[in-house]
Amino acid sequence: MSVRQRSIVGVLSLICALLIWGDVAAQTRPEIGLSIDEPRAYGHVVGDRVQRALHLQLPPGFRLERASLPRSGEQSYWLDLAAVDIRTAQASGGAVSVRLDYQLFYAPLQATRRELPGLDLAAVNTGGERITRSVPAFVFTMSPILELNPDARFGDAENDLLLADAVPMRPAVAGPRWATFAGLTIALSALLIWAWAAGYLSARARGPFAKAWLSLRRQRRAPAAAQALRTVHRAFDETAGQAVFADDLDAFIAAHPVFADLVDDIATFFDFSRRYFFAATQPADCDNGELLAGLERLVRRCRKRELNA
Amino acid sequence: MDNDNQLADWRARALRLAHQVNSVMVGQQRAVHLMLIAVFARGHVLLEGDVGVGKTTLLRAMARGLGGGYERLEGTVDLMPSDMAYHTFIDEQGRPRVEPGPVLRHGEALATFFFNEINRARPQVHSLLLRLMAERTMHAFNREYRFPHLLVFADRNRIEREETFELPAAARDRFFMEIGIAAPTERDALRSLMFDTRYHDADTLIDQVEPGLVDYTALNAFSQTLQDSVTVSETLQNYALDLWQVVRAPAAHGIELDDVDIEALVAGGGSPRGMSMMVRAARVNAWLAERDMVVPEDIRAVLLETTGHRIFFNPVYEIRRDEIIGRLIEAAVARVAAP
Repeated sequence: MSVRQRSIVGVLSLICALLIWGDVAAQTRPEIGLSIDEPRAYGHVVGDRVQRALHLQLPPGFRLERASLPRSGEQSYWLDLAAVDIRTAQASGGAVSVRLDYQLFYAPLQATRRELPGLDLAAVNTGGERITRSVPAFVFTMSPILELNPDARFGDAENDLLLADAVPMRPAVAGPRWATFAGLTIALSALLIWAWAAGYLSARARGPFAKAWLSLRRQRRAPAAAQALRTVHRAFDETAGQAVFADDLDAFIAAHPVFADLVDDIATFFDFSRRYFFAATQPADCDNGELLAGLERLVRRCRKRELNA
Repeated sequence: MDNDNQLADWRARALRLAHQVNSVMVGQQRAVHLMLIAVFARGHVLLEGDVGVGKTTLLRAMARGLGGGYERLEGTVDLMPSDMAYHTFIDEQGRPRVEPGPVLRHGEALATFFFNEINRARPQVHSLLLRLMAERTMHAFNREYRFPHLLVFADRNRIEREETFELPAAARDRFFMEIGIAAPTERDALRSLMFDTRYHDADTLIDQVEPGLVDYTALNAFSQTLQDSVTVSETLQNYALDLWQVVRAPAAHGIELDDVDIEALVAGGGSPRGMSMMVRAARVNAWLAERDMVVPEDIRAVLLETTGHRIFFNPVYEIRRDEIIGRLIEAAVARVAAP
C-alpha cells in the first residue's frame, strides 16, 4: 500500500470514525422530533385565522415544558394567538400535537410578506435534563381587500365600487302558492261555518243563556251537578241583573215575560237546585249526565226566548 | 217522626197566633212575622216607629197570645234603675212601703217586658236593662230573681232628640232584631183604621186574641229543638258569609249607592253575635215556611232586621241611617249570588 493509498484509507477511516462518533453522539444526546403542518403561504387577508400544527416526538421520559409555548392572546399589534391546543396521544408514547391558532389583523394596502414568529420548544425529564428544539418562523403573504375600481368600459357608474351580488335563482312558487291560498281559504271558511253553527258569530253569543249553553256543552266531558246548576243560576242572575232565588221567580217572569211559557220548567230547576244545595241530604234522583242534559234542554229553550226578546 | 209532629204542631199554633194578631193589627204582616221569629228564636226586639202606629197594641196582642206576665215601663229622664225593681209608695196608714216593681212583680212568670221610649231613660237604666236582657236575672231584695222566659221589647222614640240618650253600639248589638213599624200605606187599611169602629177600642180588640195560644214556658226548650232540626248547608253558610262581608265592606265589593260616598259609609260593626243571630232567625223563618233547611230567601227575609242595627255608619251618614241601611242591604242582597 502506497503512502497515497494509506492517506486515502486514513482519511476514509477518519470520516467513518467521525460519522460513527456523530451517530453515537446523536444516540446519546436525546432530541425532540418535529414536523410541522403549515398553512398555505399566500392569499391571506385581514381577519383570517391561520393554524400551525406542530407534531412533536418527545424522547422517552421527557415531557413538554408548557412554559416554552407562547401564551394565547395578543402577540403584536396585528397578530392574535386565539388558542393554543395541546394534544397528547395516549397510545404513541411521546407524540404531542400542538396547534397554534392565529388570527391576522393586518390590513395591507398591497400584497405584503409577514411572518408568524418562531419559537423554542423545550422538554424536560425527571432528572432535570432540559432539551430544546426551535421552530422556525413561518413566512407568508397577506393580500389587500380593496374594492375594485369602477370601470366605465364595463358600464360601471362612477360610484359603483362593488360588484352587484349575483341574483339567486328563484324557485317556481306559483303552484304551491295557489295551493296554499286555496287551503287557507277552505280552512278559514270551515272555521267560519263552524263558528256560525256553534253560535259564536250571532248576537246569541252575547246573551247570558247563550253563554250558559256553550258552557254546559263544554261540561259534557266531565258532568258535575253543582257546576252545571251554578252555570244556569248565573245565567238567570245575569239576565235579571241581580241574584235570583226560587222565591223571586214571579218577579223575574214579570220583568222578563218572554220566559213566561217556561215558568214550570224554571220552577222545577229552582226547586231542584234548592234541594241540591241547601237540604241536609241531596236528592236521590241525581245522575250528573241526565241532569246536564236536562239543564241543556232548559237553557237551549231559554236561549231561544232570549233571542226573541 | 215525633220531632216532625212536634215541629208541625208548634208551627200550626204559631201561624194561628200570627193570624190572630194580624186580624187585630192592620197592615203589619211583616212586623208580626218578624216578631214571631223573635219570639221563637228567643231574642229581644227593639221596635222603631212613629207615635200611634200600634206598637203597644201589637205587643199586647202578642203577649196575650204567649201568656205569662206582661209588664210595661215608660222611659223618662228621671227614671232610676231602682224604679225597675222596686215600687215605693205611701200606704193607707201613711207609712212608706216598698214592694216589687214592674220587673219583679210577676216573678218567674214574666214573659214580656215592654220598655217604652228606651232612649228617654238614662244610661244607668240602660245598663240594668241590658243585664236583664243578657242574663235574664235581676238582683233585688237581697236575692237574685230569675226570668227564664223573659223577652224584652223596647221602643225607641225617633222624633225628638232633646233629652234623649242614644243607645250605645254595644247596647244595640244586644238586641236580636230591630223592627221598624210604619203606618200602613194602603188606602183600604187606612180607611178601616179611621172609620171601622172595632179599631177604636184597643182593649176589646186585644181580647179577640186567644190567650196562652203558645205556651211560653215550653218556648225555650222548643226553640232549641227547632234550631237543631233545621239544616244549614255549607253552600248556605258560604252565602251568609259572603253577604255579611259585603255589608261590612261594601266599597271593596263594588256596591254603589246614590248620594253616598260608599268608601266612607261604614265605620264599623257587624259582630259575630250578629251573624249567629241572623242564622238563628233564618232557621225560624225556614221552619215557619215548613222547610227543614235554610235557603237564601230566609237569610234575606231577616237580614235587615237582624244586622242593620249592628252596622255603624260614619256620623255624617248616621243621621240618614234609616234611609241608607235599607238600600245598602238591598244592594248587597242583589249582588251576592247563591249557590
